[in-house]
Amino acid sequence: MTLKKRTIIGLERSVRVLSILVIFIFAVLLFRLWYLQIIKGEETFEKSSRNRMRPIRITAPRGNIYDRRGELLVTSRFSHVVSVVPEDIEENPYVVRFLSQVLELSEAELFQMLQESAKYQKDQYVPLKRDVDPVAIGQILEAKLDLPGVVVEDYPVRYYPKGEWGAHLFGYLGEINEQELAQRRGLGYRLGDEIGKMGLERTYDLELRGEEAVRIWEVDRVGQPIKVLEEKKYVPGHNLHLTIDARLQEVAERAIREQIAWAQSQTNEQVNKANAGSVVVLDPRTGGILALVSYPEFDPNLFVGNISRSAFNELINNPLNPFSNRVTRGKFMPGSTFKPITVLAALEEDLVDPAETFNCTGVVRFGNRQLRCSQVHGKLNVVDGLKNSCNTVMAELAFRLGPEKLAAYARRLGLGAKTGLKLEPEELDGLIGDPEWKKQARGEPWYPMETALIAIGQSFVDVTPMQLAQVYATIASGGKVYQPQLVREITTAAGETVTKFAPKIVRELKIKPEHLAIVRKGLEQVVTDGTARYAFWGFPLDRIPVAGKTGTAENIGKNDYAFFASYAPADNPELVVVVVIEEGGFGSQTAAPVARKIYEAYFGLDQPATTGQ
Amino acid sequence: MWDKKTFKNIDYYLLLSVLLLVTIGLVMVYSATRNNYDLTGGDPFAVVKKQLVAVVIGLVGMVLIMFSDYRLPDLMYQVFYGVNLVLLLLVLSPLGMEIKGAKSWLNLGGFSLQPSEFAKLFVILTLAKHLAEKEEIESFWDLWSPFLHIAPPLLLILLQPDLGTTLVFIFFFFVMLYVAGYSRRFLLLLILAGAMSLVLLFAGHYFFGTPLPFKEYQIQRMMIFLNPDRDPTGSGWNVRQAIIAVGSGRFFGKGLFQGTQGRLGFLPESHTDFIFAILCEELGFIGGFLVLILFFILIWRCLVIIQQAKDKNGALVATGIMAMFLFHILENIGMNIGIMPITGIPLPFISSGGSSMITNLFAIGFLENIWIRRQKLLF
Repeated sequence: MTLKKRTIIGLERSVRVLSILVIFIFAVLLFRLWYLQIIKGEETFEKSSRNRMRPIRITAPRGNIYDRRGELLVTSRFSHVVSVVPEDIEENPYVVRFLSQVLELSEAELFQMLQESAKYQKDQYVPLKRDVDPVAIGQILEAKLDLPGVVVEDYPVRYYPKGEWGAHLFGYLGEINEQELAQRRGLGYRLGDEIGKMGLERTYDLELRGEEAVRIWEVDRVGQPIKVLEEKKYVPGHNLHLTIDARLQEVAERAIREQIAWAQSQTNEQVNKANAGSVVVLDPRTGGILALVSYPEFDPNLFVGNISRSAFNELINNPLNPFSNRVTRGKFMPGSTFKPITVLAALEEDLVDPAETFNCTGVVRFGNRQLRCSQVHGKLNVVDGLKNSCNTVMAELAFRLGPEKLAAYARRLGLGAKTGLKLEPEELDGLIGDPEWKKQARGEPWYPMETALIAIGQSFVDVTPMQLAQVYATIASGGKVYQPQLVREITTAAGETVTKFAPKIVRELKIKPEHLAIVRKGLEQVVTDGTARYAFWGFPLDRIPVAGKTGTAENIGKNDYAFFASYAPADNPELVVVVVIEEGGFGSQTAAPVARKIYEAYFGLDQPATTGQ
Repeated sequence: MWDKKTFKNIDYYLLLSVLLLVTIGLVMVYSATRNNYDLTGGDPFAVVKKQLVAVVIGLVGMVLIMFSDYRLPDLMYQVFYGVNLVLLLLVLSPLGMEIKGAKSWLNLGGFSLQPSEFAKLFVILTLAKHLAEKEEIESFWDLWSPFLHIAPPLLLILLQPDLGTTLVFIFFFFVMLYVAGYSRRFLLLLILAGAMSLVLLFAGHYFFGTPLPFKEYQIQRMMIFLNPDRDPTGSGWNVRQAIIAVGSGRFFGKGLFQGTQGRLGFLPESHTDFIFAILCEELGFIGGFLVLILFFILIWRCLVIIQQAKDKNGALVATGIMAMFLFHILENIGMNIGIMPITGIPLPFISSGGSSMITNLFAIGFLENIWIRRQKLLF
């Protein structure tokens, strides 16, 4: 476009042109309104009022959930739902009696359900009973002509082929309650809808639920459907593709059950009270979770369609609380699995020389209190300290570091804060105590011995198994802290990508590689020569070196909790495995064998599993 | 400032038609939402109450604007421009809230803001100032600087993505350029070039598989508009339901609160995008005609104000506001009666939505302001 000098056109002329445009636009709108309402109006009105219209909403099938290889983990099966128009059947005693007999509901229950649904939609079909058995459906369809205001529709029922396995990952569905409805106002939820109550079903409910179908029935005077006037098809929900490896999940599920059964069969009273536990398996190169078990579990199929009250009450009243996801919401003192953090902190602060030797006499004194070590270790350096899980070495390092620095390193590695895992209910923060915290929370001063206790993972330190896995993944990856991930990709039912989730580095720690190497050497020796050597007896450590740390955390009033946190191959880690067995006694004996089975499955080792000692 | 003359100079036609539209809007929002449990949570007045709060804020702001001077110091314009960009950036940050595929809302605890609504007024004010300062178009910079002025906010709104509001911007931008003195041939050439590049984009997509900068649903809406029977997933549903609602209202309507389309929930978004259809169903052609007349008075007064404005800046602000209203009216009513594609922009003063209501009432404040100060030149 060539540039030439422009003069300003007179305002008068532009306004005149605009006026013509305005008149034209309004004339078109007015003419169209006239056409629709006056010329076509009678016709449309006739169509819309000759009979009454009754809309019904039909739930779209929820999206499927697949594992990393495409194996189906959660899906829907087709069943039936009986829906009624409250306005049409309320005053029809025959219909009410019939339905109450066939659907095995008392008339009082039925009226109460009608009243609840009438609160929001009196003149629409509302679901009365879902997942109705075929015999009852047959009876209703036979009597159809005598049942105005009643229809039977297809209904997709959630189905969890794996049963109990992975219950805390997937969660379960239930009817939306008033509070959930209030929180989700404007997102299209309605009373009577099903909604994910926990797990991925809840976290990704909006993505999974799809868009319901709407069908408008033309009904006659009494409410008998005549024909479908309008129909809007449903859009099936999106599918989730997980980082979970179904095979490893199964191995972990089986291993933790076998291990707890084994522990309960022992005569040793320190071990045989084992009753609950958690397993996390993740890839330290991406943060992707390959397996996640919180035991005991529940069968999400129980909550589908018609809830069995007795089964539900049994779960609710179980003192072990099967609904709690121990991996993200179990708070544990990590015991000796904390020790690598103590060593790393001391090395990074240049407070210890890798060659320096300590002398363990089996006990450390703090005034009139004392901290015991598991045995008299004699002379040893920091690597030996990790290998033999020596409390004396840790106490000395704690003394040099002081509580503030120790806490700072634990926090840098991610303890005391959320890992960022997207899974409902939300994970807990855990706790890393320091003098400032103690003063505020308890109004008490800090004692030097408490620093030593933190250094060995006791007292004012709480971690979730998920946090522990993230710490070991950070050690395994050389300082990269990844956000733990469960969902790789969300696709439409047709398979088109909606969202892809790339691995996400939360932060990168500047740790000197030589310091990390010392810690990693110590962790490797734990398995070859240290506290975990019996658990890995016969494991081909020459081909697949495993590095890890056992932990036996004391809990007042309870038996010790058994921990094993690990990764492999030690030189080039692909897998992080964390196992916690509550009241399982020793980490080496009760927790480590579970991890071993998972490594064997992952690396394809065809060996019979051995248990402890 | 508060003397009798000022009150005498208020444009009462404009004020009265706006107040009538707002009243009709509140009644219709009540009608469209009172039975929608999902929106009201049991209190039939819940949505109306929120709307009423916005009306009060809007009216107070309008009065304040009316009696202050629209010619602000230069620094204020730069602040306006900056605040606008910051708000639009915040929407795209994690503070922004995504609803139905568009990140258009800022969640501020108890209530949410839609900065793209306020952006319209911000841009009109700053652009008018910018254009008013041009005496003649002599250099390359003179010609293209308005385009640079509007590009950043426009791109941020496209990123949300909010296609409807983007179209509003493009429309008032061209009208303002035209009134500012840009030649018709130049503007027509630009529009032609824009249309050509759209055609090329689509041709490239269908023949060579090049990516399109649109979302799937936007293309779908366009296809449905071109051919309402092509309706694989029910996206043409809204249009058909809206037309049935409008048509079945006939001359006198079914009576206030007697509409069935909205009450039975056949018509989604009946309190925002499709409120005009509910109005036509319940109040008939009479109601629809009355609303059209009120909007016509509004636009007509705008045109008069443009001509009578004291200076070029005032004329251009009035032009921008007029074009903004005109496009909203055309697009929203148009899609309710099936002659425009669905883009989801609200009907001024009537649709439920606080940010939109406040913006529009403020805009009226500016129009009145310009009108009140018109005669200073004459006397």
